[in-house]
Amino acid sequence: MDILFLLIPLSIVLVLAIGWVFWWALQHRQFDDLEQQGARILQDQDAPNDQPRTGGDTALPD
Amino acid sequence: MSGTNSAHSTRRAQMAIGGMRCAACSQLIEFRLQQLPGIARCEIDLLGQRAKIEYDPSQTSMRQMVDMVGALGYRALPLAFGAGGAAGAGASADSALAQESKTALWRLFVAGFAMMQVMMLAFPAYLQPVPQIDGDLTPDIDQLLKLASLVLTVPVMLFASGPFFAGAWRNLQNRHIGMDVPVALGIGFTFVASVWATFAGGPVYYDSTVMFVFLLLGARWLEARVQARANHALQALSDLTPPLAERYRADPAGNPADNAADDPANTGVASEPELVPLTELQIGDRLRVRPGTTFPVDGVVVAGEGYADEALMSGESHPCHKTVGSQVWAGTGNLSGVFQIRAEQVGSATRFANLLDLMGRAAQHKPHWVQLANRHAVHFLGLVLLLAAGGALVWWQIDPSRAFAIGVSVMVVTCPCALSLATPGVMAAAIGQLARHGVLLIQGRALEALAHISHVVFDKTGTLTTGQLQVVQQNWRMQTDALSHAQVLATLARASLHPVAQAVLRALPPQAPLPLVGLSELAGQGVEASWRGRVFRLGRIDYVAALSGTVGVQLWPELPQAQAEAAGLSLVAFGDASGILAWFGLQDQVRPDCLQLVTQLRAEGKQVSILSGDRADVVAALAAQLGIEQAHGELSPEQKYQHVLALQQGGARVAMVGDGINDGPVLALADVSIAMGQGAPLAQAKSDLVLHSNNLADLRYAFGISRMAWRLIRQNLGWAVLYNLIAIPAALTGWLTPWQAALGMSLSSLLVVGNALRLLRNNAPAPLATDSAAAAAPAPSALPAASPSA
Repeated sequence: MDILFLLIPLSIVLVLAIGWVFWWALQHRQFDDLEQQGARILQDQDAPNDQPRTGGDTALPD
Repeated sequence: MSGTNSAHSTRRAQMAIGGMRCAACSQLIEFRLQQLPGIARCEIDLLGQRAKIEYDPSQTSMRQMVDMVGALGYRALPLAFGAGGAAGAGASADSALAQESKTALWRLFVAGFAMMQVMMLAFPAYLQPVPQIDGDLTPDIDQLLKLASLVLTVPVMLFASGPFFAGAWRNLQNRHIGMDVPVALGIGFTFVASVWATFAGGPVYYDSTVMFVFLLLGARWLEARVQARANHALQALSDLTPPLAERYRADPAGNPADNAADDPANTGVASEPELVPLTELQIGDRLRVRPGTTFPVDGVVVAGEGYADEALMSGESHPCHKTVGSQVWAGTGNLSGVFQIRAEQVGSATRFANLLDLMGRAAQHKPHWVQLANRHAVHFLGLVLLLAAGGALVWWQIDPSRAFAIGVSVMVVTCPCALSLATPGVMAAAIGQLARHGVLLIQGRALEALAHISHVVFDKTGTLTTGQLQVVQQNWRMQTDALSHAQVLATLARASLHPVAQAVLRALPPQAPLPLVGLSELAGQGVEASWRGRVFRLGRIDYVAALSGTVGVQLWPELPQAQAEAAGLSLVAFGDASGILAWFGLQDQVRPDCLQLVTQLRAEGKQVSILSGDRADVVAALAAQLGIEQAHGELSPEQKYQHVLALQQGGARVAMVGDGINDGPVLALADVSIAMGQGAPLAQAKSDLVLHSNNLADLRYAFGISRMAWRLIRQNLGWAVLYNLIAIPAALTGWLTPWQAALGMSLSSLLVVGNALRLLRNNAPAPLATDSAAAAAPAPSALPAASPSA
C-alpha cells in the first residue's frame, strides 16, 4: 500500500489542474448561457460559425 | 477570424434584443447577423436578451444590424460601444452582477469538488473505525489521508466559505446574530478541531465541514438564480430609453428656429442636432425626436405634431395625440411626426426612472416566510451551540477523551442545511412552474398569500376584455356598395391611427390602397378624403351625415342607433354626399378564457366580483354571461379602493386582477395583485404577479401551485425539526460516528430538495365538467362593452 504515498499527492495535483480548467471555462463565458447551446445541434449549418462572411453568398436554405 | 482583417480594429458592441422567446429565435438572429459582412463574432444570450457582437466598423454598421433584427420582427436597441481587441475587454462588458454570480459559481465548484475528493479520502476511515487495531489501514496511511483531506479543505475554508465569515463579521459589527454567525462558528470550530485531531489523534470531520459549506452555498446559489430568472423579463424595460439623444445646440439668440422640427432637412440656420449621451442632457435642452424612437426625457412639445404610444403609463395602445404644448414622457414611443421638445425632467428625475427604481426595490424584498425561517434558524442554531458546549462539558466529567468529539459531532449533525434548503428549493420549483404557465412571480411573499385568498376581484377593460375593438356588425345600404366602395373604405381606414379605424380595417378583406386626395383627419370625429371627385368620410355618424346635409338620428330606416347604443356597441359610419353607405358596430372583445377561470374559482369556493369604471349595464351583462353575481360599474378608482377595503375589513383576503395605471392604488391594497402582461408596465411593477401569457385560464395553475408550495414548505420545516430531535440525542449520547453525521446531513438535505421537486409534477388542475362545455360553446358575441375608459 506504499504506492498511496505517491498516488494521493498526485491526485491532489490533478485536483488543482481540474480546478484550473473549470476556472478557465468560467472566465471564458462557458457557463453564461446553458440552455441555448444544447439547441445548437438543431441548426442546419454545415460550416462552423466563425467564418466571416463576405456578402451573404451562402448556399444554405432559408 | 479572417487574416485580412487582422490589421483593422474590431469593435465590440452590445444590443438588447426584445421579443426572443426561445432558442429558435436567438439562433435565427445569430445566423442572420453573421451573414452581414465584417461580423467577426456574434453571440446571443437568450437569458439576458442581449447580443454581443464583434465587428469591423468599415464593413458594417450598428444601424444595419439593428435594421436586420428589426426586419426579422424583433426589437433591437444598441447598448454599448467599446474598442475591442484585448482579451480583457470582454470583462469590461460584464456588469458587476455577472461578475458576482461568476464568483458565486466558482465558490460552489470549489466546495463541491473538494467535497467529493475529501469524502473519497475519508472513506477508509469510515470502514475502519479503529485504525490501530483492525485491517489494512496503517497509522501512517491514515495520517496521509488526513493530511490530504486537510490540504483540500483549506481552499474551501479560505475562499469558498468567504461569504459566511464575511457575513458573520458584518453581523457582529452590527451587534446582531444573523444566520451567518452560527454557521461561521460551526465550520470554523469544526475545522480547527479537525486540524488539531490530525496531529494529536482522534476523528476528523473534514468531510462534514466541506459538505456543510457546499450545501449552504448551493442553497444560496439556487436562490440567486431564481431571483435572476424572475427579474429578467422586467429587465427588458430598462433598455427602452435610447442611450443617445439628438440635441440642438442653442444659437447665440438662445432658441433654435421655430420651424426647425417641422422641416429638419432645412435646419441650415439653427444647427443640426448633435448626438449626445443621455447623461449629458439638462433641463431646458431642446431635443429632436424622430418617429419610431422613444422619447429620451420628460418634456413639452415645442414644435411638431403627431401621436405617441403611452402604453408604458396607461396600458392602452391607443395613440395619444401630441401637439405644441403637449406633455411627453421618457420611455414612451413616438409613433409619427418629428417632434422638437424641451426637456423638463432628465435622467433619474423622469417618471420612467422612478418606475425602474420601484421595480428594483420590489425585487429585493425577501419573501416573508424566508425571513421567518431565518429568524427561527438563528434561535435554533444558538440552541445547538449551547447543547454542543453543554454536551462537551458533561462528557468532560465522564470521559474527557471523548468530550471534544461529542461536541463536534453535535454541531455537525445539526447542520442548518435542511432549514436553509427548505424554502429556496420550494421557491425555485414554484417560480419555475409558474413561469411555465405564463405567470411571473415578482413578489415572493405573494406565493404564500395566494394560497389563502378568499375573494377575487376583476377589472373589466383590458383584463376580462382584450381592450381591442372588434367589428361585430356590418351593414351596407346596398350590397353593390360593399364591393365598389370597399377599397375606398380600406384606404380611408388605414390612414388613421385611431383604434376604431384600425378595427374597421381589420374587418375588411385586404385591399390595395387607392391614391386618395385631400386626406384630413378631425380628431374625435373621423377622416375624410376624395376619390374621383367624390368626398368620403369615415367616423362618427353625425360627422358622416353632415356630408349629405342631413343631421339627426333617423337617417336610414334600418339604422337601429338607439338600440345598438343601449346594447353597448360603438357605432361608426361610412358615407359620402348621398348619405350613409354603411355602418359598423364595434365591441370590446371578451377574453375567451374568462369563463374557465371564473368557473374554477367559484368551484374552489372563492367569491368573484367585477369592479369597473365602465357603464353599469355593460358590466352587468358581462357578469351575467360569466356567472358572476357581484358586479359594479361606473366606479371611480377611489370607490374601487373603498370596496376592496371594506371586503378586507370583513375578514376577506382579496386578490385583484387589473391592467392599468389607474388600478394602481387598488392593486397595492389587495392581498395579492395580478397584472395583465399587456397592461401598463407601471401596474406590473407594483404587482405581485404578472400574467405574461394574458391567458386568464393560467391563473388556475397559480392558485394550485401556491397551495402546494405552502404545504411542501411546512413539510420540509417539519422534517428538519424532526430530524434534529432524533439526531441531537444520538450525538449527545456519543452514539454517532462521523460517517453517520455526514450521512444524516446529506440525506436530510436531499430529502428536503427532493420534496420541493414534487411541485414540478403538478402540471394541470383537475379538469372540470364545464371545461368541455365551454370549449363547445360558441365564442361570446354581441356583448355590450367598449367605452374607451375602463
